[in-house]
Amino acid sequence: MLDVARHDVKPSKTLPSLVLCCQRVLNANIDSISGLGPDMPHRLVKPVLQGCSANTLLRIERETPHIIEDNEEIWKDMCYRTYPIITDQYDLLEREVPLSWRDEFFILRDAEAKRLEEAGNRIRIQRLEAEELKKQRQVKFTDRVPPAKRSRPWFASPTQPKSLFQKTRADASKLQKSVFGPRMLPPMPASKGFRPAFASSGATLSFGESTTPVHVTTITRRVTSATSTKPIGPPETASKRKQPDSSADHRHPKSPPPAPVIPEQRMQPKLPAPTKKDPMASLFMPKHRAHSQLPNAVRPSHTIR
Amino acid sequence: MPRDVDMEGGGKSDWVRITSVDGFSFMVLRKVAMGSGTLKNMLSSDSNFAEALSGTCPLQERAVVLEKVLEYLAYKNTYEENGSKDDLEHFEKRVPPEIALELLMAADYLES
Repeated sequence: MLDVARHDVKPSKTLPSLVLCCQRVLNANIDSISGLGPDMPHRLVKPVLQGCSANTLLRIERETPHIIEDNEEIWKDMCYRTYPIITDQYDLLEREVPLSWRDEFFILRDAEAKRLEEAGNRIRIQRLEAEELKKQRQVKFTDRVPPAKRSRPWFASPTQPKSLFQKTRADASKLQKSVFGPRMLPPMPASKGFRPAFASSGATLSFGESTTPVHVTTITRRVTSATSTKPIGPPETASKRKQPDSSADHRHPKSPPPAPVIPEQRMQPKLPAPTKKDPMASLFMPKHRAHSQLPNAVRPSHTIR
Repeated sequence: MPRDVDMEGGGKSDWVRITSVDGFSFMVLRKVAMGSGTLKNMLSSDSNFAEALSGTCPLQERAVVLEKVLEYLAYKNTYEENGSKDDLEHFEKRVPPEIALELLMAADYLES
């Protein structure tokens, strides 16, 4: 009928009481117990309940509600048994003892399940990643040619045989472009301002360096056409600048002296700076383009000796 | 050969009748019945229980359960006399789990 585990000491002297026998039988068939009945005294059932699982205990409790209050101790023991580490903390840290060991047990169980799940997920992800890596290294069969890293339309690529000489030439041309870059801009947006700048640059040349081999003679005719002070300014300053230095070139003053006094004073301090530069460079790089106040219709011509 | 117990109390081979709630009655030797503390008290001549006079004990147990109880008492009686020389057959094997719970309660009530 029953296979009872002989875990108890075989009573040689005294017979096991019927109570004891019954308890052993019940222990053997714990999972079959559904309920206890209203009359079951707790002391009788206690040893049986202590040996059963949490689920069974819960089920029995549902069937036999009157026994719940007596089960606190059982739940406590179950907590200790199942999660010894955590429950020990209650003693070590002197944490507040949970009012309901029963609830505590389920809290612990859920936490444990979550931890296991997370660990499982982590392992699974690692395994998948390892498999992915492995797959990438595998030899794949395909009928598509992989994209060529470098397409070669020309057999002799111009960039390949780059000798040192070619490299320096390329660098030099790049530099020239960067240096003379601004030169290209002025003719486009402000070509008008570009011209008078020539005049001023020409003036600076003669003013600053008397020893320069290049003498620029600028003949300005715009003074007569314009009546505003603006057009008068730059050519007058140019002419005024020439006055102190009359040895290098000749120039005819076109405006009354008192008018351009103010602009002259303004222009003069700025003149010495560019004169120190290479005349060839200043030809192409009009620095005073921004300061020029000449109108649009001016077209001076200059000759280089 | 069951025969009713005499009103005077009878000898050692008295039989007592134990009745169950569903109408069954069992005859056991008085000696056997004395294995149970409750029955002993009930049947004792010292007390004034009605059972002692009539020699019958109506118990509020089902016949199935009662039968098992009495079986145990007989088993107990047998092996107590022998002085446990023999290898006891564990009575647990003879307990069907279906009645184990009720048997437990009965056993507790009868202090066996």
